[in-house]
Amino acid sequence: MDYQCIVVGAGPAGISCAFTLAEKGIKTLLLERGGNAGEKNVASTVLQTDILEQMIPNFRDDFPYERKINEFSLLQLNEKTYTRLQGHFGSEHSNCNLYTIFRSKFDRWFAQKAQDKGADLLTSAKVDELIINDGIVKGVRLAGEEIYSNIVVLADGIHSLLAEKAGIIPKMDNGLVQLGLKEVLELPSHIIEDRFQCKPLEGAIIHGELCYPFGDVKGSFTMYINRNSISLGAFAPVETLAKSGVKLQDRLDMLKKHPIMESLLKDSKLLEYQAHLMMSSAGRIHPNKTFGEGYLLCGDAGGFCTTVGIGIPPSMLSGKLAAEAVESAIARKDFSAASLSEYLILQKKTHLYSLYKSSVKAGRKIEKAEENATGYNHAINRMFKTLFLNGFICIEKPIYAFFEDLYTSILKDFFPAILKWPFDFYYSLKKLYARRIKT
Amino acid sequence: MSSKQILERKLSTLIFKVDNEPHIKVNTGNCTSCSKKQCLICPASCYSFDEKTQKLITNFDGCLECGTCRRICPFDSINWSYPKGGFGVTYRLG
Repeated sequence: MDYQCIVVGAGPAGISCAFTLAEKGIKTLLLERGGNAGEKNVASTVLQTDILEQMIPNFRDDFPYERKINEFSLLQLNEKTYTRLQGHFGSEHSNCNLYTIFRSKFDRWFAQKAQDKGADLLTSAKVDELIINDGIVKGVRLAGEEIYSNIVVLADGIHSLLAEKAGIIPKMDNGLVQLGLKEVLELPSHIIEDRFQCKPLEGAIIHGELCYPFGDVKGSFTMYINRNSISLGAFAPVETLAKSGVKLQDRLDMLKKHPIMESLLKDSKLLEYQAHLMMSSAGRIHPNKTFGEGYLLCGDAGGFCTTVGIGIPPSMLSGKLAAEAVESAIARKDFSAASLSEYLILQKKTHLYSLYKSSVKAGRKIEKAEENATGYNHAINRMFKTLFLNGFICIEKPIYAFFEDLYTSILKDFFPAILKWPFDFYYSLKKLYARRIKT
Repeated sequence: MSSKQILERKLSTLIFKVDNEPHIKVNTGNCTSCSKKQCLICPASCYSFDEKTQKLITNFDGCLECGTCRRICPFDSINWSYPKGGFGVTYRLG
């Protein structure tokens, strides 16, 4: 046996798995098809660090972040108007747990931590297929070579070609997949701090949910603040883009021409253009299909990385739990599906399983909001305009009717869906993280 | 700037290590009869359709490896894989 465990894919899930395995003294090989960990990966990118802190309690000593995030804004655009809601949460930072990052830097830093623990990392190494004998995964084949191990953990991303090829997972349902495009736009830090009204090393994440210019393709945009740049992302379901023939990159260009965006991004310089697919909600792979004879699935490959579940932390947790299941299987010298089913028990213990259920529900609620998103955004803007024009002293019937309308349609329906915080889902997230979310 | 120039400017921000053989192979048998040509939404414009010759033209040198095309081809004509290890796009920021 060459290794006790092979992990395919050095993304957050794969590295979390390899890190935890190496820490437990298990001989681990981490394989990455890119030249370095992170160079094939794209995300928005904001990272909630509670799961990272469980693995590396002193991560803040040398963690490569861009800004500490203490503001969340909704910027709902219409063609010529916009409505902005801003929430700032103060500047107390000793235990900040939300940061903007770049994947190239973060993944590379994190992979080094796994190597420091003793994991072997091989880059520019693309696995061609799994070695399967008598229905049991025994290792991997790459570039004509065969590497054997007791267990293979697949963390090879949303397509997981290896799992699909081996018949382990079903073909992706296009209804669940979104295309994300991103531009990283350079701006000097003092200009960013001036325009976005933030202090040095602090920043905001800004969302425009289901609004212009993406409303008709059920898309959204994100604007995340880095030290010397802005990460501007646009995403929309692949299905609606394909049906309409709309090129998402054209809509991203339209977004930058909106008056408020033009003023926020004035004189910025394009640093990088990126594209990646992501799952909007869970449902493709049931948790009881994330393990089998000699293998486990974690991260995007196991359906743990979803936009409603805010992606990276649940992926990292799935990698950590996969390592724990591998450790038990190795102790038992039993690498069968029955032995590896402990992975599912661990998912249920840490509420990763209930996150699956509630993200499926959240996905359905968002579908409802998507149907009349453009109407809602105009209604929100009209609400603000009416309040502005009529003031708060007017108590005529139209105002009551207006607020009734506002409650039933926008607050009850649209906001919970677009903020992706249906209450049961919020509680699942709360349980998932080690620390209570501060209110 | 034309949309082609705008896209070229965007792709020029990336590093591509191009292999001798393309990593994506397309069976173009059904392309002429395809009414929607969904593959044309590719964010790197790797696919284009020549109306005169009625042929699909592909160039995967600037492929961003997102996999949108493999999801949306109605005929499942796209034999999609990642490039060889160390080849393809490099995101310096990601």
